[in-house]
Amino acid sequence: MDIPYTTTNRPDTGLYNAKIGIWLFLASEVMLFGGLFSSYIFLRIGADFHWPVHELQVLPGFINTLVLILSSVTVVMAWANLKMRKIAQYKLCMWITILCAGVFMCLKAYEYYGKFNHIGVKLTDGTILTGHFPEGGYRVKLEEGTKVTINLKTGDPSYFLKWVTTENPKFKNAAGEDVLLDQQGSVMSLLDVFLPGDWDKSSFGQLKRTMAEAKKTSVELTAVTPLTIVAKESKTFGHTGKTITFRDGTIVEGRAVEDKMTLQVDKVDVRAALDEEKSLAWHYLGDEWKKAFEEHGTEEAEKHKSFDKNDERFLRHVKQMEIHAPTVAEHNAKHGGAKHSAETHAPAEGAHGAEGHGSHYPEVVLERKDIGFWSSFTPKWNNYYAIYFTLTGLHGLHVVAGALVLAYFLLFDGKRLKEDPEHLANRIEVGGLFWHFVDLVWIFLFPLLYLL
Amino acid sequence: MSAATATHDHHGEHAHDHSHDHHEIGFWRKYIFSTDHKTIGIQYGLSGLVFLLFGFFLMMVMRWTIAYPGVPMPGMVALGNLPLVGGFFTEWVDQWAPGGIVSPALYNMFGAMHGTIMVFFGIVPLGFAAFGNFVMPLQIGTIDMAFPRLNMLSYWFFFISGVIMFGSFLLPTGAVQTGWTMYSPLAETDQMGVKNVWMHGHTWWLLAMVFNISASLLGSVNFITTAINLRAKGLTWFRLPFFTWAMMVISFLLLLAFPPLEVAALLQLGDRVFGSSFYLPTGLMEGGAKLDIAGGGNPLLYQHLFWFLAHPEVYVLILPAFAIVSDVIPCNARRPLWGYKAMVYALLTLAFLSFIVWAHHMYLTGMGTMMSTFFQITTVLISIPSVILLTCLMITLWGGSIRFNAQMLFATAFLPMFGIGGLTGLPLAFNFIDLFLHDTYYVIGHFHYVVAPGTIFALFAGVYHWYPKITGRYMSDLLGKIHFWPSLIFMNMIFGPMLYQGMIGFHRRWYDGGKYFEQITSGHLWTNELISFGAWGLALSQVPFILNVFLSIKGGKKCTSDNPWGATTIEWAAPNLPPHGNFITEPVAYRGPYEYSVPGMERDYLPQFELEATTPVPAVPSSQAHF
Repeated sequence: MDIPYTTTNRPDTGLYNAKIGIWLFLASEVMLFGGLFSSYIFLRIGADFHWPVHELQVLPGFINTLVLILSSVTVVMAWANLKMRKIAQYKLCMWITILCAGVFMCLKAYEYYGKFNHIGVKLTDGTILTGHFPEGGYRVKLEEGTKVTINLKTGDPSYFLKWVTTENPKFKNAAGEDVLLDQQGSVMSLLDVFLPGDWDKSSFGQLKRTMAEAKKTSVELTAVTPLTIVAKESKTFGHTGKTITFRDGTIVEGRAVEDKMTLQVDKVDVRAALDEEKSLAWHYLGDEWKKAFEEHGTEEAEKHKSFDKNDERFLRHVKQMEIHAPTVAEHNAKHGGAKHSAETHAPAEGAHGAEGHGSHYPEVVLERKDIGFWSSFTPKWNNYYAIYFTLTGLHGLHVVAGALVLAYFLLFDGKRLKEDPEHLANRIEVGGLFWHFVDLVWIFLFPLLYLL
Repeated sequence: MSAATATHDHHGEHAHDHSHDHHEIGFWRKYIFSTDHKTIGIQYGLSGLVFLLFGFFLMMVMRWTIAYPGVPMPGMVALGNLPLVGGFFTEWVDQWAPGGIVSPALYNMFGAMHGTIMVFFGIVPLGFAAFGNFVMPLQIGTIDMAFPRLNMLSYWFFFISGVIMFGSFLLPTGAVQTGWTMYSPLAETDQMGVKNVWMHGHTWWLLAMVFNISASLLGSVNFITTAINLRAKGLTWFRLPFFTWAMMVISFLLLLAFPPLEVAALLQLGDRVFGSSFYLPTGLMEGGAKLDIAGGGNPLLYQHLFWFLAHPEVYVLILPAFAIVSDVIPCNARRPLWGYKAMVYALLTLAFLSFIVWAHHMYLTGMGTMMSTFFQITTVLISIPSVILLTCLMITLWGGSIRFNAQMLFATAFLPMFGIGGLTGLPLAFNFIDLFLHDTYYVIGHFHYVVAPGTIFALFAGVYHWYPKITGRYMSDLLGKIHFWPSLIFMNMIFGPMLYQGMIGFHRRWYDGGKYFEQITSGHLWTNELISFGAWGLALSQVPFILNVFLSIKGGKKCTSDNPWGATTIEWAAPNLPPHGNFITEPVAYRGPYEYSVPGMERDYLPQFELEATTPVPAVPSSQAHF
């Protein structure tokens, strides 16, 4: 008892099952990516910020386009060769297709990696600085007497300690007794201090009940030593001036003696600044960079004078400047002979500690009060990157899935290749249709995200 | 099986050797990880019934606090006395219903989950996946689905999604509490204060939905392919029973409408887990503090994506009912389905229009009068095909010799109940009336008239109708009638007063039933109690059904024929308890699907699959002669 029309076509419809199936599946995929593309349009039209344009490196994207187109050709050749029973050529073409998928994903990973380490900071006046953290990045130093509230329902003391860089931090409880917290501290050991007496410590459920009976849901500690916290942004719900709330519900509350971010700036964008003349950027970068920026603006304005002064394309060139310095390695390699781009001739001495790490990026130390919002170039930074990651991430998943299916046909379908090559050819055809769809999505994605 | 094939004289001799072929299939492959469409259909059916019951249970808890706000719910605290799980429940009740008093958070949680479970885990799996899987391949005379293994995968995706959804109740944050529509930004800022973003109800809801959507997609690809490519010989498009047409159209709706919901869910997941602000506008405040987000997003985007699915979804909920009823009614009225072709065209029109009415759920979002007018027009238009479907079914009854057995009672009750549901929807289509009725109990009443006494009645009819094919035995007709009459009364007792409440101005999300809003509700609060008693009465009247389903497996009256109702479609050519592979000889369709009471014939039905008619087949098939 076999399902009919797996290999042969049904006479009246002229199709075999899998072919109908894959076209239906692709229809649904069209709706999936269609929904995402529509969302892109909706978000871009409705954006109340300057939608990033031409911010991505075109070259890796372009290479990826070529790689995918090549793989679409080879997958068809694989199918045709299989139909002609040229098995060696079939296998070669399949290998090339899968290899192309690998190359695509590697380039994608390279592009992603760059974004995870790139930081954007929106200052309170709307000016945007982007750049990299030298080391440490964002640090908060809280003076002694800082109150730490650990939520016993959800949190544990070792969680926030992970982000405390102070050596041997010391804490006291409400009764004034010393409490020893170390990285191994747990709710259980902590509770020993707060709930002395006999109770069943064997189960977590019992513990929670004991807590509930004692009406204890949180533990308050006071730091005896100052605390320096270098927290990853994803582990907190943000710093609100006085308090840092960690994801586990631990709240650290105290007066900051130091609340600063060190940033090696690689771009200044004053498009959204309240007053570009008095932008906070110049407060940090110094007048030399301001002058360089103004020169850059005049030059660019000359180049783009055909545009209206309020045109987004005009603003994009005139009101932002890349500080395109070579990296340390490049700098050493070229050693002075390098032809710096127009913007970088500006002396970097204006910024504090610019040459400190041998980098040509001006390094600034931003005060907490001046930082409106900051993030790495992840979905959090703005909706362009959010939809970029969603679209390319989902597309990348499709590439991986497609490559896995093709690899399965190539590597584990040998029995079918011997006994029923026609059926395998149908499978390759169906896989190839999917592969073409994945390619087609990229053909839309590339201009949409890199060029438009 | 062998006992059930008594009247299968020309097939009888093959029955035995056929049943020997499949003895080697083990228990796990046969009943759990089966690729047989019938087993998968039954799996879907049982899971769907369990979820339906569970969703109903959630609603009864909500009805308690609506009728008696602040009064401890009987039995709630006693959950802690249960053996084994009691300790767990003690904690759970302490958290969500201290002292047995349903907390607002619990009400919100149950409200959101009632909607989700009923729609995505109750009715769609039951109406589409269960009946579609069991009946459709039989009805088109094929041995199985086109992709049996995908079919199995579909069920197991659904199962995983159900486990995740159910599991979210047990999380420290509880299940999701922001209504089944999960409107942003509320749905995104809620439940955020947890250590692990992957461990709260909302994230689990989104993950469960991703699995659920995948299951639906696999199912619908399979259904359409099967219907296109595996039809029996002679079964041309207009010989397809309306049931199969409807299943195919539902598949298309699911196939094309679900991906945008997947997008909506993905973007919301991004907002919650990866910190993006797709749906979060600039400067959003929460509890007096500015959120640490980039902003620049738009909550309307979510609503567009959500309703782009959720309106076609409404038709996914109601069309299985039409599918089932249009097989049950002709069979029990002994009349051809009146206007079969018109119904098919109406169905296709309905499906098309259902994609361009979504924003009538969004009149109050301020999307602009132009948009509202457009969607108002399409919404009014879509009532035309719906009325065609309903009218054809009613005319089918005209002059029939109706057998009022349990399934026919449910099927005929479906017609006026759906009628009320549909007609009460018309005022909502107009944006100026919707202004007043939006988010009131009127909307709840309208929608539930469509899906509760509407779809669910039709599903009951389907269970009674196809039960003999599944088990070889009849369900008890007496118990069926004891099931039907109270159900009908209580359904109306629940949803009728809701329309009245809505017009007074009862808001749909009041957890105290409106006690706090005395200026609106005073003098009308008794309706809350009335409805709640209706709900508990409805629960009691399901007892005969549950007994009937389980007791009849062994104790029901045995069918003496493979075609116990004297029906005409091909599924009745298969032996009762169809074996793996379904048919003993390959069925062939010789004529249209509804040849009942053919003039001049001695017998009052002429099945599609029988070659030899006792009298000559009329030149014009009678199903079309009336049209």
